[in-house]
Order: sequence, then C-alpha cells, then structure tokens
Amino acid sequence: MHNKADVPALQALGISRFFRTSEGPVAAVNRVSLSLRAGEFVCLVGPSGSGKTTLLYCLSGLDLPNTGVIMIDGRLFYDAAQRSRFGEDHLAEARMASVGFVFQSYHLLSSLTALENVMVPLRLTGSSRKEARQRARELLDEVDLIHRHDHFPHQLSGGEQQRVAVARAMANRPRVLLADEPTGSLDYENGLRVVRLLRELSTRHRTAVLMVTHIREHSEFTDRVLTMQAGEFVHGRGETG
Amino acid sequence: MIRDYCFRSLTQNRTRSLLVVAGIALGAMLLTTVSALGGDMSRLLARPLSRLYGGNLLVLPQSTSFGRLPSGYIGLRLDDSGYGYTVTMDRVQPHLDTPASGFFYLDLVYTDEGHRVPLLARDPAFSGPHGLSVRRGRPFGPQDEGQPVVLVNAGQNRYPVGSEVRLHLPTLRVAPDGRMVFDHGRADPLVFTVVGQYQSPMQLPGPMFIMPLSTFQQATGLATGLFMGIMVPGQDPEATARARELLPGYRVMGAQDMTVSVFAGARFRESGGGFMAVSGTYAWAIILVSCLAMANTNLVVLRQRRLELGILRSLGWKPRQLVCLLSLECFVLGCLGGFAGYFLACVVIQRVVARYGGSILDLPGLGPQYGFTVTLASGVVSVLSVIYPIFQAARTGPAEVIRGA
Repeated sequence: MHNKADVPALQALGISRFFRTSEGPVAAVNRVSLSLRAGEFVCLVGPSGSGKTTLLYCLSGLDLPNTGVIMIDGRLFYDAAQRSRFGEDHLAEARMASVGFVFQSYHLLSSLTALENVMVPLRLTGSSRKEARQRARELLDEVDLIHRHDHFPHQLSGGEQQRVAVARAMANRPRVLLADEPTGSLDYENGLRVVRLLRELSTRHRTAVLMVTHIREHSEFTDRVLTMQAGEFVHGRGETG
Repeated sequence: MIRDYCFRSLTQNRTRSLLVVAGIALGAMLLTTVSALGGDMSRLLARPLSRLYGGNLLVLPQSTSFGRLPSGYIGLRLDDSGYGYTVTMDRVQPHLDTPASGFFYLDLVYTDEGHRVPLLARDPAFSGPHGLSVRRGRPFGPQDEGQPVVLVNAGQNRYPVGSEVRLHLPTLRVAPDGRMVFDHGRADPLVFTVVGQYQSPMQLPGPMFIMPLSTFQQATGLATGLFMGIMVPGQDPEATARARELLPGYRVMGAQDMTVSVFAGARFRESGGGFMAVSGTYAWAIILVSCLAMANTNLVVLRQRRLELGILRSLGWKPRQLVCLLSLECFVLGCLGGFAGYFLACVVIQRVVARYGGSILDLPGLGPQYGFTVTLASGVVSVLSVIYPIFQAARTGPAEVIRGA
C-alpha cells in the first residue's frame, strides 16, 4: 500500500501529440512517459523543435495529447482514451487547482497590477477579494516584489515580470509547476535569479517543477535533467529513479 | 471577478474603449437624429403650418344663427360696416407657395375681456407689444397706413361654443419713430359668436395672424366676399350635409371635399408621410450600418485580445466565463455609446429645431424614456452583433493562441 508521500506529483504515461501536415501526421511528442515527485525540480532540455514545449502544454492541459494518461497527485487529470469525459470546463478547473504554468514571455495581464495578476487565479478558485489580496501579497513578498505590488506589467522589468508570473503560477499552491523557458527572455543574472526562485519555491512548498531551458548551467539547481530529441527522451529517464 | 476584470479592462484600455464608444455613439446619434426628424420633427414642422391653418375658434357674425355645429373651420368671415368690407379666408394656401407674399404676425390681440392671445408672446422672433415685425415677406410699411387688418385665424383660445367674443380689430398707423404699430383706438368692437371649435389636424394650437387686406387680395387674387369656407371635420358626409342645410348662403366643404391646396393638414400629412417614410428608411439603413460597424469594431478588438483571452484560459477561466466577460464589456461600451449618442443627438436636434423657433422640449418623443431605450438598445445590439465571434474567441484553445504569440 502506498502512502501519500509515494504518490508522484505528476505522472504521465504514453503521451503523444500529433500534428497534421500535408505530408501526413507528424509526432511532436511520441509516447513519452515521465514521473515527478513532490518537491522535485526537473530540467527538460533539447534542441528547438524537439517537442519540449508541446510536452509541457500537454501536461498542463493547455493542449490535449492524442494518446496517453496524465495523473496529478494520484488523480486522473486527463486520459486521451476518454477524451469526451474531459471537457474544457473540467480541464480548466483541474488546471486551476493543481497546475501552475510559467511562460517564456511572462504573459501577465497588462490591464492589471502585479498584485491583481496574482489575485486572478485565487479569485477564480472562489477566494474572497480580501483573502486573495492577502495571499497575493504573501506571494509577492516571497518573490521579493511586494514593494512593486501596484505596478502594471509595463512598469516592471523583464525579470520582475517573470517573478510576478512565478508568483501567479504558485497562487493556488499547485502540485505541479510547468515552466516553459522562464529565463528565455531574460539576461543571465535575472535568469539565474528566477531559476533560484523556482528551486526555493519547489523545496519550500513541495511543488514538482518541470522546467524547459536551453541553458545548461541551470541544471545545477535541478534534481534531474531530461533531454528530448524528435519527441522522445534520449537522455535521462522520464520516471523518477 | 468578471465584473472586476471587465471594469479594469475597460478603464485600462481607454483608447480602445473610447474608440468603440465613439463609433457606437456616432451610430446612435445618427439614428436618434433621423428618428426625431422622422417623428417628432414632423410634428414640429407641422407647427408653422398649423399656425397658419389651425385656429380653434370659429368666429362668425352675431347676426347669423348657425346653432351648434359639429364642425371645424378653416376660414373666417368678417363683416364690419364701419370698414365696409367682407372677406373670407379659406384660400390662404397659395401664400405658402409664394415666398414673397407677406404674412404678418401679431403678438398681441385683445378681446374686450382683456383676453390676450399669448401664443407668439413667447417667441422672441416676434415683436413686442408696440411694434410689428415680419416673419416672411415684406414688413409693414407706410404704404399700409390706415389699412384695416384682417384677422385670419383666431388662435388657440378655446372659447366655449355659444360664447360671445368682442374683438377690437386694430388698424395700422405709423408711430413717431417710424415703426408701424397697431392702433387699438377703435371703440366699436366686432362682436362674434362662437359656433364651433376647430381642432388643428396636427393637434397643435394655431395662433392669430393678420395681414393688410390689400396684401391678402394681392396674394390670393380673390375678390373679397366670394368665399366662405366651413370645414366639417372627419369623413362624415352627414355632418357636411347638415352644415349645408344650416348654411344655405355659404360654401360648406367637408373633409372629403378638401384638396391639399385648401386643407393644409392633408397636404402636410401627405408630404410629412413621405418624409417619415424616407427618414424611416434612413433609420433602418443606419441601424444596419451601425450593427455592421459595431461587429467590425468588436471583431478587431477580439482579434487584438486573442492573447489575453488565451492567458485567461490558461489561468483557468472557462469559455463561458470569457463569453460573459466579453459580452459584459460589449454591453457596457454599447450602453455608454448609446447614451453619448443620445446626448449628442439632443444637442444636434436642439440646434436644428432652434432654427424653426422651437425647442427640443417640444419633442416629447425624445424624452428620458427614449434616451433609456436608445442606451439599452445600443448595449443589446452591441452584444448581439458580436456574439458569434465572442463564442469563437472564447473556445479557441489557449495553446494555439499563446504559442502563436
């Protein structure tokens, strides 16, 4: 019998994602399986077009894999074989509750302040305005941006925007945080700061983090490195060892 | 949450919101203006005609006993042995078509009860109590001195049938300062009995207006004493026949006998109906164009916001929440645009009607209820015009949008 600690935070089995082209279907991700423990920080590397981002989108439910099963915290998140069971509303709720996503281009909502951006996922889960505000302030404090809580995205630097995006992704205490090249738009120093932050948050909140990156030096902060090529893992094992 | 985000989105993207509101306001303004021109303005434009034709007092010589007539009246016969003339006024229509002809308006006429005909008193375009001015045609001049003036229409005073009215018919004289003024000095009033009341075809009161007899004759080319018109309202041949029996010496015309040249109301209805049909067509065209413009504007806005919608989806917003958000934004902008358009239309219409000596307050159809309807309708139309693209935008996969950005 497994206890709670043994249950992987994220488990994906046989994930495939095909795209139709004029020359037939192309597999961006081909029967990939992986597993992440709670609090584990995994780095996903590989050349452009190897399927890293597609895999991340599939794992988050932002994109739907053609095959495979995704479990989060032992609960079924998505099963391609029962596609009709997992409607948009279901995926939206599941994503909101257990997955955080950090984009390369931050993608903060330009009409909202830093604080309000962090409050959005909290309000969606039913928190009152006061509760959401309190929690958002804590998160901004964690990413060292509380002093800029009322700034709009265009008033923040790239590094600051990405830290706000990290705070927003952590707002609902997700079991899994997926980061798609979070340092891709930042200089080296700021990129390093964001990766350190992700590492800290992962450890502190026992959140499993899967981060796509091109920078090898970031791997020193991670527990594992997975390498993808042509839609498959070629280096490192998808499953926790 | 949706309401908060909607508010922030609208206030933070001011330029976008303002442009959308401006577009909708323009459409609403055009629509309101054209509708007003088609409806209320028609009634407003009817007023000058009604002033010319629409008295509500039938005045006939006391010596003639007509009994109670269920009649309206568009002419007037005056007999005054002191002046030695008799004139009838049922053929004043040609004046409308002759810009050079003169209708002279009097702002004050007194009955022997001191009853003041007040209709023109509120119109500053007309002269004060001691002078005359002309609204169209030539003004009174020295050549008119000593001319008796003819009361063509008895104005809006609703004297009860059977009452006696003693009218002090004035003459013209030259004042020391050279202006033409009325001489009310005659002691012997003309005494009339009210035998019926005339209700204006446009339901508007008609004022009193006067002209020198010579002007009347010149304008109409008619010899005095030839015509006496009694109009029987409605399409009631029996009433007409009864009036003819009662008035063997007069020309009695029923509404069915009227021609547009005699019956201004009919003529106005004819032209006004055409005017309203044209303006109605314009109104529908404007509604159509406004809807298309709104749809186009909102489509552009939606396209511009694809990434934002994708981000919201990635954060957990459901498609139906996005539909609510976008619909709410469209509705709010539509309402704001509708209200702004209504307000602008009121300004424009006020300027237009002021040229006719009227006021926007004379257009009851443009009241707050109409404003509320325009505001609400603009909001609803704004949402309806873009509801399909909203559904499409809300259902677009977030990955597709975000990865494409």
